[in-house]
Amino acid sequence: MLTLLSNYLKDAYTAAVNGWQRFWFLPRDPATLGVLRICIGLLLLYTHAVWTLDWDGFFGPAGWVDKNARWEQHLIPAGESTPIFVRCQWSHFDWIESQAVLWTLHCAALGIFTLLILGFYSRTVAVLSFLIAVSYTQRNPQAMFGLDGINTMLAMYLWIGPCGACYSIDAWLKRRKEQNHEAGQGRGEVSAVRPIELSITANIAIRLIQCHMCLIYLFSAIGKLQGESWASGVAIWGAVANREYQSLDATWLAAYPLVVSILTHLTVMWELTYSVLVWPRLWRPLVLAMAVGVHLGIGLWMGMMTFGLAMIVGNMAFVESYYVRTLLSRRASLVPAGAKTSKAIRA
Amino acid sequence: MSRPKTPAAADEPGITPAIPPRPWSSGVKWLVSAALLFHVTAQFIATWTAAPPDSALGGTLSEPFHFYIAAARLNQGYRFFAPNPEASHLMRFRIFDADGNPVVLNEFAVNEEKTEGQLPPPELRVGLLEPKARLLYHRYFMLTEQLDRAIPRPIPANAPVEAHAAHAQRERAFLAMTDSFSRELLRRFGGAKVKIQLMEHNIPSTQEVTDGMSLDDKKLEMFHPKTFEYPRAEERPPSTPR
Repeated sequence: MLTLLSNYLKDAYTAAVNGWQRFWFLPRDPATLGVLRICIGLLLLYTHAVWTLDWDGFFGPAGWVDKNARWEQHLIPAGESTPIFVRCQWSHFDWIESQAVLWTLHCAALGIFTLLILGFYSRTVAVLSFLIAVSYTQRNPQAMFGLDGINTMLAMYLWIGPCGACYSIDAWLKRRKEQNHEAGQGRGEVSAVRPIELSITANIAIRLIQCHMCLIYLFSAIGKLQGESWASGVAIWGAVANREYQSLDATWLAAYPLVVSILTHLTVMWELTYSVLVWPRLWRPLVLAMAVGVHLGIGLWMGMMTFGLAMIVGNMAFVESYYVRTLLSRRASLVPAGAKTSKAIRA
Repeated sequence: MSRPKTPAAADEPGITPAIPPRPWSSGVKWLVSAALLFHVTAQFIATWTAAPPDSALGGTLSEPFHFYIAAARLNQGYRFFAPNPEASHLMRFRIFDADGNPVVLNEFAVNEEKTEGQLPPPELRVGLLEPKARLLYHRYFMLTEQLDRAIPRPIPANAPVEAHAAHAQRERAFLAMTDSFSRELLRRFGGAKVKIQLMEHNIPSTQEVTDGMSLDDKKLEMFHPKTFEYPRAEERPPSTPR
């Protein structure tokens, strides 16, 4: 009996270690990460450019929520210590008083997001982009919502991997340098097909986004399970009949309670099972298609297109680089060095 | 181990060869594994504990991660439309000049006379194809939602002293918010005095809509019983006889 248990534990340990290694440390083609960099850069650029439309209201010396009002939210009765969440909050808006300097930094921030899109000094600007996004959210937490959480999350993981290895100025410069080097060594005709440099950190970055997306949907579903309207199948009506969210009229759904019920239950079931079903390759396209449908629906009918797109970008972490390359360069990929070509994936 | 310089299958048509990276030593893998384990655990606990209801286990487990969760801003609840999609919370306001006349609002207005305004501004609640940033409307909308959440809920008279102290602080925080909103309105529109009313915009039932009710029906608007003024009575300079 003891031997049986010992063998089981040994097998379980070996399986766990091997599984962990495969999950986190298998090299990955950074193509998906490259596309994510462009999409996240666009999201950050747009999100922060919109602040410009009411700069004084949100970031001016007074504004809708001035510093006093912001800090009053965190003050606690005498004798109690300040929560660590408050002590750890930081924002460059708290350190700089001059509006001219803040404006200059805002323009610089927009420039940094543009560089992220273009992929110039990609990893450095990815780190800066994350810090900028966090700093803005800390100044105006009252004006933030899910979009900002997704933006900061995506920016946080982007710099872990070589996000500028594909579809970037960095990649173009590197390619040009290598071609010049090869030409300088007199190798004659330079091959147009460059090998793909697989990367372990690209895999880690993608895996972290994937895990985070699973957590988001899992806890979103758990939250919904506490609500009566989700359990009784009417919650979708509450979402589409909210005048402040509405951008396309969906009140015609009032005549189709069964459709409302199906959509409500489907949403909860999809969120609840996302973290399990998104991993098997057979289910993945279905789960991701549902994600696109749900988030485009939120964007079109509920006026939150930026948020909807941010969630779709997060889901893109589950798209294999093979498909990205096939779609963008019409060349299929992935022959690890030493592998037999017959097993390679062909275009 | 040196990296292979000549990629395999480079001559095969339609195939892009790949170069594997330099393998990581087991020491590096252990170090990175520890960091990943720490981060994923922190992220899980942060997401779990960021939204109510509170859990004793969640609270205890989150203690060692507090600093990291706060610094990396991992404390996002991600409870979209949970537990239930709720009514919206808006703010209506009127601004008066020193003589008590209503100030005409060039934006944010909700009535024809343009003497009553609303946050979020109705003119920014645009459709998908209109050339205005709907995201900006959502930012204003979040401000009034947060203002509603800041309203101090009443506590029983026999509540402990600490509860009364916390309630008093919530009241101060809420008034600091309404004052700040009011000052911003005065900065935008001019004037000397602001009156704010908080509004709940309810969602009609499917039956009400089937019976012909519009989402803009006045019956769906419910106002907070108290009007908030700025400057508040205790802050106004003593009136001098003319």
